[in-house]
Amino acid sequence: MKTTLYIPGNSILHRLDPRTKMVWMVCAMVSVFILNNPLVPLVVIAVLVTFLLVAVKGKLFENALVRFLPIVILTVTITHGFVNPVGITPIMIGTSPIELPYFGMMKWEGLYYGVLLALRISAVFFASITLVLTTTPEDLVSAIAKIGIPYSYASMFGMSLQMIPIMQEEARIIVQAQRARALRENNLKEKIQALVPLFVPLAVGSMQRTETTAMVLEARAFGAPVKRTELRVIKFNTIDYVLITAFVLFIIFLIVLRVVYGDLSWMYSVRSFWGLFWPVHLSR
Amino acid sequence: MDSQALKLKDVTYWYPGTEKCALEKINLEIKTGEFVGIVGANGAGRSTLCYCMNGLVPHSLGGKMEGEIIVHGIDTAKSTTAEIAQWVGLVFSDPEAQLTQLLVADEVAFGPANLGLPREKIAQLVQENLKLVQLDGLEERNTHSLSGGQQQRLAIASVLAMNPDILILDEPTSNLDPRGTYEVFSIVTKLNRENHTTVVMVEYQVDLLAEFADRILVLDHGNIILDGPPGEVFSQVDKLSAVGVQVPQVTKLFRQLDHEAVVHVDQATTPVTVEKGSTELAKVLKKTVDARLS
Repeated sequence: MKTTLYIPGNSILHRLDPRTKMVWMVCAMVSVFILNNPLVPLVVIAVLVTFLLVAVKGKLFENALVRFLPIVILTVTITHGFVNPVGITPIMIGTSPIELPYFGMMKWEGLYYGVLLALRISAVFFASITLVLTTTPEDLVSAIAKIGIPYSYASMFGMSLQMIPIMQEEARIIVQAQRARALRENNLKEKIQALVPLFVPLAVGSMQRTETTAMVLEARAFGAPVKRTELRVIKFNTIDYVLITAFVLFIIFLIVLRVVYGDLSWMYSVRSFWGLFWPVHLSR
Repeated sequence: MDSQALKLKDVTYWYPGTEKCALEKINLEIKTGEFVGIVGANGAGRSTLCYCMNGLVPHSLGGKMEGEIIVHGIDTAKSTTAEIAQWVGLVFSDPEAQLTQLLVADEVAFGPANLGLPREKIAQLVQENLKLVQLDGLEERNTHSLSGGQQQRLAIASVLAMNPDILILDEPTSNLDPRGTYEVFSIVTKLNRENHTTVVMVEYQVDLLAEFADRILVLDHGNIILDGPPGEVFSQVDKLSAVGVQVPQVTKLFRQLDHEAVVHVDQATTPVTVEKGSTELAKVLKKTVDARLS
């Protein structure tokens, strides 16, 4: 059974220090919010997806969250197109606007904002998924401990990851046992009702298990009055320094742009679909 | 260090929120290097007694305890389980709940790392102990992808890696096949003989306990009702079946033969191991054959 999102491999991303990927994640999050310009998140996404495709190849699209992303993008874009109050110019198809009852017309400015936000979300998403797809949970725990968070909290994170498959397995056994005793789940109502008798044994079982685990940890000298040995060697290599520097320079570059040229938004001049992604009126 | 590994003095223990005590005025001394088997029916207090021996009672489990427990010369009431774990290793009965790490190798390394051993030493311990329980080659596997038996052997390896002076095992073979069970017994016996590790083992496989243990404790409703060498304890068939404890099949056979007046066997000399049983049986058969011939 698959327990974590980690996809094994030996690419650059896999070999990076997890802390570099954490820095990378933070930098990606910050960078896309500096300017109000969709090109920045587009560049970030392009870089991240390229790295990810090299690292995990087509398996990237097997991830449930990646598959879910287009729905998020569409929802955000369309919602902002209709309801964002920045909208002034209606989008015309021929001579008629796109209109919804109660929401009114879809506007170019709202759509621009929606696209910008959706791209920002995607960039943050890909930056985070880079960390979890290419770092083993064990390394992640060590890295969390290494950036100064107490080991007991870091290992708590690791142990909760471990609870997921155990709970899944337990839920499966309980459901099967209940089905064997003619649990009714013919329609949606009955299916929802069937969740109640599942929840109680699952919750009780996991509480008992947690208690045992706590005892096990103590019996294995967790929290003994000696300095714990760090098992995994996590250290920065040249490539880590190079990549961190690159991303920091990128952020500095964006801040300079922001200070010198403003937010570089062309929200009020968008009149076409491609104009959402490229300042068409300026290139003319 | 004196030759006493463990001492319980007048220990009575109540679980939180219960009226009836789980252990009642237990007095017990275990010498260094002894192999003690604990038998008893479900709910007789076998696990609770194990938890007493490394400080989980009363520290983690709460409840009320009277009396005094001295382990490795230390009063458990004044120490923590994590400290006591440097000398006392405990293998729990639930194999899945005692896996704390994602990878097999990490699981074994967890205890030694908590004790602050150097990294190279830990790597060596991981290799040695996985090999000992025949899980070598599975270092990078996910702990919960293992079978129940493998998980149980992993749990044993993880405790052995901490090199305990006193090893407590609470039903360590419940998920193992006969061969795996026999192997666990041989590993434990080997440690007991060669390293003088004190072993306390809760088991229902009385045949194997009779063969390997030096001493058997029988628990019933929180009391130690019998305490002595296997031969002495297991031959009291009636008393044991009254408290729901199985006796070795050899013993059962001889008591039955005695009962049906086929052979006469003194209660005290009833064989409890297959080896002794077969010698005894050979003697009896020879006697019968001789009698017929003459």
